[in-house]
Amino acid sequence: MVKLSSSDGREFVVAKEVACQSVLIKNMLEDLGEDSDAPIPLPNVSGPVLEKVIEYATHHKDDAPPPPEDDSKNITKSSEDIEEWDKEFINVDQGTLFEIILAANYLDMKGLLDLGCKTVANMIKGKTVEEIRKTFNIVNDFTPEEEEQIRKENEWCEDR
Amino acid sequence: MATAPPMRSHEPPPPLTALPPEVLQGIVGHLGDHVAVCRVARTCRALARAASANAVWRGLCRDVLGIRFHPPGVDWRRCFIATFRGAAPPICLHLNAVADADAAAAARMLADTLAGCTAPGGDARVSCSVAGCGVLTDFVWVCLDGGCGFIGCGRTSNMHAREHSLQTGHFISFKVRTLEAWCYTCSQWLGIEERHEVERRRVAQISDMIRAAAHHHRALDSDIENERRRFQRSLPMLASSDRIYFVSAKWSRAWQDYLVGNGRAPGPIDNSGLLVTMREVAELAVHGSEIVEPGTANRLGLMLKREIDLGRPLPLLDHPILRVGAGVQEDFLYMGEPMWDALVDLYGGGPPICEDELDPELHRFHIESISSFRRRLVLFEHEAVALAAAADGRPAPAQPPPHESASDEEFHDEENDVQGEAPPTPPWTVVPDPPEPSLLPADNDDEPDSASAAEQAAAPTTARRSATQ
Repeated sequence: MVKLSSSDGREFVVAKEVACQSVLIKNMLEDLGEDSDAPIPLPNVSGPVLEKVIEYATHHKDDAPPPPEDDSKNITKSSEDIEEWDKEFINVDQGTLFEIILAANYLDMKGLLDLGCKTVANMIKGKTVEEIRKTFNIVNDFTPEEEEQIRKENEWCEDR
Repeated sequence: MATAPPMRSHEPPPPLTALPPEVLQGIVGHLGDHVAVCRVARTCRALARAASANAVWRGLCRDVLGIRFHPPGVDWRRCFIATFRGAAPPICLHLNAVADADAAAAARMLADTLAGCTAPGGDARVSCSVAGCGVLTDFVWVCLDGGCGFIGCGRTSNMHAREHSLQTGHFISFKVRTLEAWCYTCSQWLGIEERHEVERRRVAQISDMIRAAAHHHRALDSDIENERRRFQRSLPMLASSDRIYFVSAKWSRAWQDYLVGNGRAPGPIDNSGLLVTMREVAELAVHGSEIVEPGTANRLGLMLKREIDLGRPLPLLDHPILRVGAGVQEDFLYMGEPMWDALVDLYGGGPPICEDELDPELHRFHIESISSFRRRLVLFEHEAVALAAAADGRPAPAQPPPHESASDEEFHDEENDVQGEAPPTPPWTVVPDPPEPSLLPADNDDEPDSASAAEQAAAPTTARRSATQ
């Protein structure tokens, strides 16, 4: 078992194979050696988010390791093909979703990071520029010249 | 899991654009749709940066266009836009069947074979995988589909490579000596100049991989050698306006073998076998031998013999001329002046034998052959222009340009226009009179000559044969 400590000081005890889905934790454990039972501090992850992350890692602890990235035979990784359990799991408010993504990025958990990115991608798809800005409270920080420039660069795919 | 609300009490949610750049790129990369990527790019600077990442467009090329191979050095956004708009040259997606690991496996296999079997002559050999076939390195292909590694001989041999493709549904084959690629489904050379950039880079990447695995074994031609070969394949095709040179058929065949990748570069051009002197004509006439073909030579020879016997001064007696009985195809091939000049530059040798030097009486037969060949060539050139015009949807002149008409010049101008604007037609597609269907590219994969100047050199023969039939 491995002890994890969140940014707000909460401690979680999880099975090693669950914790090791995070490449960061796996590497830390390897550095610390087998018999250290000091809790691993995760200052970038809050307790509630860590709880979610552990929930995900527990569910996926028996998954096969991800295939190598650069294989031209990889089947298209569509953002549509999300498992039912994952869909339910990631059905959270935007703030939590971003925190999970940040945690997955920090903890180096490819599966969870992909799930988060796919979910955001699905929220973007089919929307107009203005709708995307509104959905994510994005401030248009282009100068008028930049905006015109970028509109021109991207108009090719709209006219059809 | 409705656990969200209680979690979100202590701090405001981070905005999307506060996510690290690599995460934003990951999100954009999962869109899988170029319209969405272009729209996201227009929302703000951070997302514009994420949407311009090369990896994002590589993903779109894969997801939207189905290009799953990704050689290095590609500007994937440019590639996507050009391909999506149909502005890029064709690409063969059967290459998807050759993953990096497949190419590596086949490369290792080929390297092992080359390292393992060295013939007594010192030349390592790869032979056709079919038992008892025995066809060697110069004529064999390696199947890379799914890392197959089958070695099969090409169509100038026993066609085992093609048979393998038909039996297995494997498409992608590399010619062992040159490491050039052929697709059996597209019936197409891959990676050649007029093909899609990504395909060209991929073929080059795989060839390099194989060469590196085989430690640049000398049975495999280097990049530089292949570059020379490509240059020679692109030499200007014989045009009706060219001065015609005679080139030894033996040398031309060796050169053609080299062009198609079935052999190494030939030595200097050797036309000496095509020449004869008047003295020899006289001597041969006496023996009544081979040179008599249309009769002229023998008569002339006998005449010369009399002159020699009478001790008359004959200044050109030892001047070499084209053998009167030499035949097109068996002894020589026609070549246009630009190609002749280029080949002399490359290979040296000679001597040059030009149509201008033919004797009107002695070489009457050759002169007639050339003019009949040239007439055919004019017709073919005209047809090619008409085809190009038709492809452009323009009206084309129906007959060869009339030379005496008053509108002559205007007519020619238009013709030149059409020629100028037509897409540069690969020379081998304008072959005068393709002899048999079996010589068409689709059926002729062992002959890059379907993609080369080799056919040009052979073409005159073909035209002449038909003309004289």
